[in-house]
Amino acid sequence: MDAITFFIQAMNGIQYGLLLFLVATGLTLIFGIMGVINIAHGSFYMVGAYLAWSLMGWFGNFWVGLFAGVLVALFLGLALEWLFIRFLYDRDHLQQVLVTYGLILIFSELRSILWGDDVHSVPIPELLSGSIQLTENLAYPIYRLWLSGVCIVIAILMYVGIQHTRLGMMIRAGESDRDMTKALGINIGLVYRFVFALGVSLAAFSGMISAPIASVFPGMGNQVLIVSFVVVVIGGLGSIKGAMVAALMVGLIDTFGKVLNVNILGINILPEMAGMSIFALMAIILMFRPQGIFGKGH
Amino acid sequence: MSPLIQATGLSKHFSGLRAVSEVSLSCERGMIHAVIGPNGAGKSTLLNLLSGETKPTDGMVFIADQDVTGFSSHQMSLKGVGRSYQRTNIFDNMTVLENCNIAVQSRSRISMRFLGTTSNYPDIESQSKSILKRVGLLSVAYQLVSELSHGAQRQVEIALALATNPDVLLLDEPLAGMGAEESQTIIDLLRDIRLDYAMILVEHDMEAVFALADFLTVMLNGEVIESGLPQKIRASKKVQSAYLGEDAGE
Amino acid sequence: MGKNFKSLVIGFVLLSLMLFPFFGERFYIQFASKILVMIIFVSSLNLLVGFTGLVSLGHAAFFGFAGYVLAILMQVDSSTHFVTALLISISCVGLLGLVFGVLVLRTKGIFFIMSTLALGEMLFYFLHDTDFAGGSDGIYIYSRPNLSIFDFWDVDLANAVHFYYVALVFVCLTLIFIGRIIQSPFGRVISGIRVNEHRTKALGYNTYKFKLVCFVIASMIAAVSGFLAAVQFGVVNPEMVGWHVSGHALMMVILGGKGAILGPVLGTTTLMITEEIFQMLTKHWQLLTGLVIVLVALFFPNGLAGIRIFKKGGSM
Repeated sequence: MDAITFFIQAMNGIQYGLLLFLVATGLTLIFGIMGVINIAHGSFYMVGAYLAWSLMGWFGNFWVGLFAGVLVALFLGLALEWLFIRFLYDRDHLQQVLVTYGLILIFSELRSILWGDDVHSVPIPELLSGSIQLTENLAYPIYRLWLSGVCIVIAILMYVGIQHTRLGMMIRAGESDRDMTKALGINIGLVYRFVFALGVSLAAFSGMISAPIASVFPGMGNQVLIVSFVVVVIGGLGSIKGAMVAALMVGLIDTFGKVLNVNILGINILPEMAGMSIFALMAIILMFRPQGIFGKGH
Repeated sequence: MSPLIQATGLSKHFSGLRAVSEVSLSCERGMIHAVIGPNGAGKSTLLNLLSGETKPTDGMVFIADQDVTGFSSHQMSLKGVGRSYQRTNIFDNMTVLENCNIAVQSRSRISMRFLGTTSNYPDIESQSKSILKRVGLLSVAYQLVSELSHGAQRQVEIALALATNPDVLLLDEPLAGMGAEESQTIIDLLRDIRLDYAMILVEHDMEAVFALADFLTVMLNGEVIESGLPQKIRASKKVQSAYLGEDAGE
Repeated sequence: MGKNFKSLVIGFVLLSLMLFPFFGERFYIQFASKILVMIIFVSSLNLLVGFTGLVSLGHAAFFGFAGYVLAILMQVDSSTHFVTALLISISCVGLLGLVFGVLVLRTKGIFFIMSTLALGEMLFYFLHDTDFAGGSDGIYIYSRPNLSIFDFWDVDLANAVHFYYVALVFVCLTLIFIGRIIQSPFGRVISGIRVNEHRTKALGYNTYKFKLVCFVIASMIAAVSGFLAAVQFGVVNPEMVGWHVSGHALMMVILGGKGAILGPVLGTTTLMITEEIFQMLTKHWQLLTGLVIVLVALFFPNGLAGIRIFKKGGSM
C-alpha cells in the first residue's frame, strides 16, 4: 500500500469513526443520564437514512430534507419517550432491553410498510459533490471531509454543552442525583424527554448524513447498533473522550481490516475476517480492562 | 501473641479525596476494638479495606501474620474475616434459614455440586439452625427476611457473618436503627461471643461502645486522631472537640 | 394449588403430548417439535436470566454453533451416530461458552448485555463471511445422524413423528436437569448471586467462577436445542446465531415468568403459537409481535405466571 492509499484509507477510517462517535454518544447519553439501555438506537439510525432518502427526494434539496428529517426525528424521540421510555426509568435492564427490542421489530416493519425492503441510494448534494485531486488518478471526495467536519463540530458542541451550559448542568445534576434535582425544582421529566429526543436525533442525523456515501438498506440499523456497542464497551461509559478514542480506533481498524492483506501460515485471513477484527479488539479490552479504556469501573 | 488482624499505614484515595489516610490498627482474639468518629470519618471505608471490598491505595493488611493486602472479598472471607454491613445487606425474598444456609455452605466443599439436592447435605441446615439459635432467630427461621422487623434483619446480618465461622469479625454499626431492647439483645450477644473472635466494631452508640470495647481508635477526616484504652479516650480533649465540631456542624 | 393437583396437571399434559402424534396432522407435529426444541433453548436462557440474574443477548451463538458443528460433522462422516455427534457438539459449544464466559463475565449490568450481544454477532460475522461455513446460505445436512438404539430400534430422525418423540424426551431431560441444578448446593449459590451478588462474594464465594460454570452449563443445554433444530430442519445458517433469536428467547423467558422451571414451557408455547397466528393474519406480523413484546415487558414484567398470582389476590 502506498502512502496516498494509506492516507485515503486513514481518512475513511477517521470519518467512519466520527460517525460511530455520533451514534455511540447518543447511546451513552441516554444510558448515562437516564439509566436506560436503548437497543433500539440503531433503528433510529436506519429511520434517519430512510427519512433522508424520502425527504430529500421529496423536497428535491439535500439541506431542506436534512432539516426536515432532524425535526421529524426530534418529534419521534419526544413521542417515544412519552409513550414508552418514561415508564422504564426505575425498571431493571431486562425490561428495558425487551421494550426497546420490541421497538426494533416495530420500526423494522413500519419501515417495510412505509418504504419497502429495497436498497436505495441518496445523491450527494451539488455543493459538496466535488473531490480533491490527490494524485493523477486518486481523489478524495469533499462530502466525506464535510461529514467529518460536521461530526467534529457536534462533538465539540456536546462537550461544551455538557460542561458549561445551564442545560448541561441540569443534565449532570440529574445524572448524579435524581431526587435532589427534583428538590431543586428542576423538571427532570422534561429534561429526560429532551435528552432522549436528542439521542434519537443524533442517531437519525448520523443515518441521514451517511446515506449519500453508504446505501440505505433494511439491516443498516442493526449493524451500526452492534458496532456502537463495541465502541461503548471499549471506551467505557460516562466519558465523551473515551467514546471518541474508541470510535476512532474501531473506525480505523474496521477500515484497514478490509483493505489489508495479512497472511498467516499461507492463509489470507483478511479481509475475510475483517468483520471480526473490531470484536477481537473488544475481546482484548474485556480481558485486560473490562471497564473500558476510560471507564472508572462499574 | 501476634494479632489476628493487623493493618499498617492503610490509605485509600478516591480521585483526590483522602477517604482513609495512613491508618494502623490491630486486634487479637478475645478483644473488641472499636472504631469511632463522626459521620464521614472514613470508618466504613476502613472496614471495606479490611474486608477486601476496596483495594487500598497504600498500606498493608495482615491476617495472622500473613500478608493479605489486595485480596478480594471472597478470599478475605476464606481467610477467616466475617463482616456485617451498616445498610442491611442480606438475601431478600429468602427465608432466614435459607439466608444462613448460603453462608454456612461457603465453608463446605459441596458448592460446585449441581446434581444432588441440598437435602442430601443435612449438615448445612443443622449448622444454620445452631447459629440461628445462638443469635435468637430460630423461632423465625422459616419466615422471609423481608417480613422481619428492622431489628431482626440486623440480627440476620450478624448471623450471616457468624455463619462463615470467622476468626475476625468486622461489624459496621450493628446497632444502627435499633430500639433499646433490640440493641440490648445484640450487645448481650456480642458480650457472649467476644472471647471467640477478634472484633472490630464501628458504632455510633457511645454507651454500647464503652460497654463493650477494650480498645478504641478515633477517626476524623480519614485520619486517626487518637487511640487507646477507653479511659484515655473518654478523657481526650481532641476527641471531645472532634465530636463537638460535628455537633456544631449539624 | 396443591402439590397433588400440580402433579396431576403435569401428568395430564405429558400424556396428551405423548398421544398427540396419533391425532395431530403432520404440520402440527412439526410445529409442536419446533416448540419443544425451542423450550430447551429458552430453559437454558432461563437458567442464566431467571436463576442467576445474567441477562444475555448473545445466547443464540451457542444454539447456532451447535448446529454448525453437527453440519460439519455430517459432512466429514455421514454415518456418525446421534449420540457421538451430540456429545461432540455439546463439547465444542461448551468450549465456546467457556471462552465467551471468561470475557463477558468480567463485566456487569449493561456492559454484560452489550458484550454478550457483540460476541454473539462476532460469531455471526465469522460464519457469514467464511467459506468453510457456507457463507450466508449456511450448510445443508443431507443425511441425519443415525439413531439406532441397541441395534434393534431404528429411529428415523427425518420422520416427523420419530423426531417429535426424541425432542419430547430431551425436553423432559432438560427440565429435570435444570430442576436438579436449582435444588442443588450449586443452585443455592447461584440464587444467592441473583439476589445479592455482593454479599455472596463477601461470604467467601468466588462468584465469577460460579457464574462461569453456570454460563458454560447453560451454553451446553442451548447446544442440545441447536443440535436438534439442525437435525429437524436439515440446514443451518448464520441467522441461527443472530441476536433476534436471543431477543425472542428472552421474551419467552419473561412471558412464562422468569425463574420458574416450567416458565419457558408456558412462555415458548404461547409466543410461538401467537406468532404463528400473526403470520396467518399479515405479512408484517413482526409489527404485532413487537407490540406484544413492548406491552408485556411494560405491563406484565412477571409474565403469565405473574398474572395468575395476581388473580388469586396474592401479593407479588
